[in-house]
Amino acid sequence: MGKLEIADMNFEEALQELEIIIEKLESGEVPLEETITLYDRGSELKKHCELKLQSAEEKIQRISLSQKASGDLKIEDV
Amino acid sequence: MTDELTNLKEFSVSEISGVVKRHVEDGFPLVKVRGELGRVSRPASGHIYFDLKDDRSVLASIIWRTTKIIQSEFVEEGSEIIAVGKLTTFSGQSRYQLIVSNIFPAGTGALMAMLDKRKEQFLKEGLFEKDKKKPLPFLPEIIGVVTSETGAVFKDILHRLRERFPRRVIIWPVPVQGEGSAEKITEAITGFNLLLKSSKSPRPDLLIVGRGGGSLEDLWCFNEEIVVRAVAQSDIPIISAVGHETDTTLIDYVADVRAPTPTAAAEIAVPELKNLLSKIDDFGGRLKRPVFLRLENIRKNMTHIKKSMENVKYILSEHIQRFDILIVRFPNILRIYLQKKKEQLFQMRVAVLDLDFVKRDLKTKHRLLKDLGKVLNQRIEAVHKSKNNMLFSHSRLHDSLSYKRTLSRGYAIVRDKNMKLVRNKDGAVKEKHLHIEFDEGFIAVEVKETE
Repeated sequence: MGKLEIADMNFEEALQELEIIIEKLESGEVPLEETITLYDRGSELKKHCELKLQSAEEKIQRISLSQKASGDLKIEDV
Repeated sequence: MTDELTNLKEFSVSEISGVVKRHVEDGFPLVKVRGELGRVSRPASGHIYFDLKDDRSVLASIIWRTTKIIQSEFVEEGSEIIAVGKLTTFSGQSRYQLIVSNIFPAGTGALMAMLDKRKEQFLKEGLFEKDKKKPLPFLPEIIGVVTSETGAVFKDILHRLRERFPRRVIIWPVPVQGEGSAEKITEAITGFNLLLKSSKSPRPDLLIVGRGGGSLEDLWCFNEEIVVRAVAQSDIPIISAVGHETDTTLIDYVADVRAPTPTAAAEIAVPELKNLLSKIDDFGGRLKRPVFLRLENIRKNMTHIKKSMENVKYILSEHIQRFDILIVRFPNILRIYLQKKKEQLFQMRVAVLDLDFVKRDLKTKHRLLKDLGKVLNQRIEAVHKSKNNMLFSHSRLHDSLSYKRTLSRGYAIVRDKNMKLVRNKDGAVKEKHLHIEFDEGFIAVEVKETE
């Protein structure tokens, strides 16, 4: 598993790695030291996921095309 | 002629034709006429002439060669169409006619036939292939919506998104039916794709293209080729949500996912926040549990080991005590031991000395034996010699015994006191006593005087 920077991960990537870590830990076939490392990373991933979920907020915007120049567009809040 | 008639303005034929033309053109600059196609003629000039009719009337219509019409393929006799254009007159034949700028198939039958034709074409091109479908993001950050700003569709989508997972939504407002709607929808889809992913121009990672339910004609823009191709070429995954569940447009085939309704599109677009929260919560528990169990096991083992250690300590203590006692006694034991060893060593040395002595003794004995051997040899030799001598003397005796015989003949032998033979006078003179041997035996004589 390539170690991505957690901060750069999207929710799904973080969730997937978290799930893999949990399955590894649950299998009980991980040496103790790795267990601790995995747990730490898992905790960070979980925190990252929670953060992503907590930051869920609605924002509605609209595209408005200016009539003058073609391809000139503005994004306005609704 | 009455005055009325006299005062009436007089027109030439061309003049009246011109006035009528102006009236007709000013009165009907843009009309939409539904009718059945009658006789169609396509002369070499490239213009298309046809009659538009219903059960009572006929309207002469022309499509000029220079008019760009997207769908002219269904201009054939018998099909029902809607023609858009302006009315004008043709003075040469005293006719009014429709100059067509656009025509649309009308009536379900015609539309369906055309739809099937296009669908077959796109199918052949592979636009609907499964492997062309892009996977939708699990959780889109920005959702672009292409629909009418005022319709219920956008409200439905926002409402459902708000319930499930509030997101950033950008609407690209477009007309969703009528003339020009296909072009606007196309522009919106390609426009979203052209946006860069930055804070200034946020590029959506998911698009929803849709409108509410309506007639086949109402939904027609979503069957247009340019819209279908724009959807096929979009790098951003697209959910189509056109009409109700039973309405299917070509965009539904080409979209990555087809949603039966706008509300369903929102449901497909985002997972439910509360489910994810409880999933994360569950993951948190599952993350901790094995680690906790592991550590708990280790703790138990440690306790067990600690207990065992205490036992060992107890067992050891007895040994340690014994050891302590031993260590006190050790110098004594050592001394005794050393003493013993010393003695042993001494004895061994003695033994070694003894051995030396024996060796030396043996040597002496050996020499002695050798000497004795020599002596023995000498003795043997001596005995041998003496025996020889004896033998010799015996033989001499024998010989001398033979002289005895002479004694019998009257001779006598003179011997000294040691019975040694006295041979002459000088010998006899030295002795006081002499023995004279006769045949019968000895007589002792005293020496008196020499003569």
